[in-house]
Amino acid sequence: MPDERPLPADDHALFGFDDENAWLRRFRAAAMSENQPAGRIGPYEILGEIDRGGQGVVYRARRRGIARDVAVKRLRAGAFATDDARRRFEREIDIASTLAHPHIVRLFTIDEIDDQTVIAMEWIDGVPITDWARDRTVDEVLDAFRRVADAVHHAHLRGVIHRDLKPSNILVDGDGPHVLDFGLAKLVDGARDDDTLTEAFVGTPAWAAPEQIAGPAASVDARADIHALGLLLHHMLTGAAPYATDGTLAAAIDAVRTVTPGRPSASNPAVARDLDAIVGRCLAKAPADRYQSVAALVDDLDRLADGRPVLARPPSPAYLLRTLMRRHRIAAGAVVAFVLLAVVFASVLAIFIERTIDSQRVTAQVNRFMHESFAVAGPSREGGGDTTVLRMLDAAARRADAELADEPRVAAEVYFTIGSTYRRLWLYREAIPHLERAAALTRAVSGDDERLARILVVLGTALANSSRPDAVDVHREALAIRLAHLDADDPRVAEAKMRLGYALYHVARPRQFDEAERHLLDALATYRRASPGPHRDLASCLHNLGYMRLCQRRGADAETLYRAALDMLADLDLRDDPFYAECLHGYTGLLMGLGRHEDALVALDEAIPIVRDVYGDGWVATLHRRAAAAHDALGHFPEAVIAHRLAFLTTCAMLAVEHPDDDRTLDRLRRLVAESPPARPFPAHDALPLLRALADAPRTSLVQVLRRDASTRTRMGDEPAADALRRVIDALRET
Amino acid sequence: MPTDASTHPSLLRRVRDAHDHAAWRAFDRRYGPLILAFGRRIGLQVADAEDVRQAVMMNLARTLPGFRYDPAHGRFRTYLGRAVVHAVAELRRRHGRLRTLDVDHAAPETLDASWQDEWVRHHCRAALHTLRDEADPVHLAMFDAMLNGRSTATIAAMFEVSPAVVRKTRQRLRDRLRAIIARQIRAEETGDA
Repeated sequence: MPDERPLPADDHALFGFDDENAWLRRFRAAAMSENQPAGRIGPYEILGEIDRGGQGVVYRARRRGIARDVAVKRLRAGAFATDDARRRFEREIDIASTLAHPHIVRLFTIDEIDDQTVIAMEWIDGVPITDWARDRTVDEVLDAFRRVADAVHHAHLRGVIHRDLKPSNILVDGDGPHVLDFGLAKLVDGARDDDTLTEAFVGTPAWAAPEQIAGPAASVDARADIHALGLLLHHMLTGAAPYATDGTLAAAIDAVRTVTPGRPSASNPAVARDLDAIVGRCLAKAPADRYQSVAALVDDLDRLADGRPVLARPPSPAYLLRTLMRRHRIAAGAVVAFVLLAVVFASVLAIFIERTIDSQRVTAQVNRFMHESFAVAGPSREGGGDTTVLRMLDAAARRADAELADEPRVAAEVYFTIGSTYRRLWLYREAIPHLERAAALTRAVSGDDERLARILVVLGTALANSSRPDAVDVHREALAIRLAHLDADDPRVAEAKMRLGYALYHVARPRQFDEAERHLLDALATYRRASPGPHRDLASCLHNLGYMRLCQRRGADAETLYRAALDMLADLDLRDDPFYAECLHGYTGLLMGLGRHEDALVALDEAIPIVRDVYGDGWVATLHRRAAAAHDALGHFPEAVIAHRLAFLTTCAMLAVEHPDDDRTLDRLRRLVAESPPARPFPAHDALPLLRALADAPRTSLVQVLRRDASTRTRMGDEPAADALRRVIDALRET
Repeated sequence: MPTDASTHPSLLRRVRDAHDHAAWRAFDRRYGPLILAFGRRIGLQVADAEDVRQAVMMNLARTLPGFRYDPAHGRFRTYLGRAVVHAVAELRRRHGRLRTLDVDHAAPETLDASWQDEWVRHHCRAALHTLRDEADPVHLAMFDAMLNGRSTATIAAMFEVSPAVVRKTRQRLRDRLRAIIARQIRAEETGDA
């Protein structure tokens, strides 16, 4: 029976129940108090409390003068925090400063407010990834999951293990998933990890790996995150948590230790058996039985996407045959026939399968090579990774020199592939000799045909991008060949005209805008006739015209054309296309040139992750410099300071590609500065010797970044930081 | 904002065990917002109010094991209120000053009155949450109109009912809220039940 004793008399009056209207006034005041502003912390207006964990309190907040909301975190115990809690918070800040990835929540500023450290992070207005995954296709789920895996891999490469990956820590908004809360993360290099060694368990039991529950924290490594990724993927595919999350702690712990989650395909028939195997491999109880790195997990997802055998499954002959049949439908009939014959010729089958396995391995190696060459440095790569790809390309060229002398057609194709790859990496000077050799070999073997025209178009583009006027002659030759062999309305003629147009206004001296405009408009008309709807070539032509208008100093016209090209590519779902990245890169420069800093920042927010995905860390240096300049112009000084620091780090990565002799020094410098958050003083003492050791050109580039940083610090009134930077600059000037 | 108005009667008993972390979390969830709201009410900045909340929890962890509820020696709300006012004073000593002006000059009786007001508001908020979970949507809409200061006649016109129905609804809601508050306070005061 519920206890329904009445309210004591004194409380009766206190709540106004002794008066006809007083009680209503009390409740009105209570209801209104729920919507009152929560107050301020330093410069932040607190909009509401979001999370109160064991260590910190997170608020949604807004900073004066900055339109977007931020997540502000301070130590829960504030002035009463123990040294241990402060050290953990410091470590969390260090870790957050180390990570810069489009799918990891960004750290904006570190403030000292009344002796308390307060950090402001990116505010993600999203939903937990498992909620987002409901009613999504398996492909959509895998796409989002891969982004999360990339983010986790990025952290692992920097020695950071998350240890608490779960749906509430991975929110999805319009920009995709964002991994949050590295509050429990652990650094792999032991020096800064002492405070986690004593713990028996950190994390959330239902999302923990068995070893997180069983052993000391010190025994937990990156494979615990792989287990959590497996749980996450399982949940995303099936719509339910693999282990119950609503029972007692003991039940959750027991389940993690002993229960093997069912195959995702049992709940979702759209899940392939291979995907079951991948999830199962992640969820192995023993770390040694799981994927040993996130890269290996992603590699297996690639195999799944390509229809190749996944490594999560043992390569039984029957399995290999099934995979082959799926991949090569025509050949599959032959395989089936072969299998039937094999009942008689068992030994022949054995040889066949052996060859198949060998062929799979070779194909995998080639694919890996192609993937790394073309997709280039993804977000998970270190800046120095670009150098490795370049070395691989150089090695391939040397092998072609040595081994393909008697095969000029094959050699021409190899040189063309290598040259095109360099061009796509914006390494035009490296591309040109390979493309010239490809052109010379093709001219000798095939004469003036489409094969030659194709090579000349790429060569001409590389020459034009290197500001070489001879690009005009190469493009004229390509256009002449195509006009001689093809119909005037053929899109390939339009391509040649478009490229020639670019060379005419970009590298010809004097610039020949009139002829260029004629060719570009011709090309545009041809593309429109060929296919009335939006398509990539049309977007390319619009972009080209836009760039010409920019060169003609007709900024407004240029902006319209750039925007049209970008919208068209987005409509075509080509945001992953390197051309979209190139277009966006130019667009941000255009907006900066027009003084539209707010718009430029929006475009830069989109451009930076895309350009980094396509071209690697080094290529976003210019974008970070633009972001810093835009923030500085708008008076967003804390953001400008962060952008300057990112510009410094990415410039190091870019210079390492351009100056291979200095790449080790640059890498050391990058690591050193990456460990010093922007809010802390520039690590002048350690950085100076490294900067001094650099050749003149890379040192000058970095000094320019530091000089701009110093200027922002002065404008924001942080003279000590500005002075520290100026001392470095002055010391280098003496060098 | 606490929404779990039905205080588990043994919560006070459980938090006497400093190692019962789940009980402490529940206790902090229930009373933390009240302490924060009090801090904000007397003009503390968010950071100071948070520090007071933390200080109160730390002090209670020390003193609650010896606390025995005895109506003759005051009620739990008074006990908690003293702990909060004490924490404000302690923080003032610790910092030399607080980052707010009003509190430095506030007389103890002012703080006590503010605490009582905030405690009433805290229970009203919790009762409103319970009511919103259980009441008929039309009655809730009428209640919102009452809270917004609409007259009985206006509400009757809005909902196309007679003024007598509005008055009756108002009376029922009042009785219901009074019952919810009575239950909340009993749960709070019978921590050792």
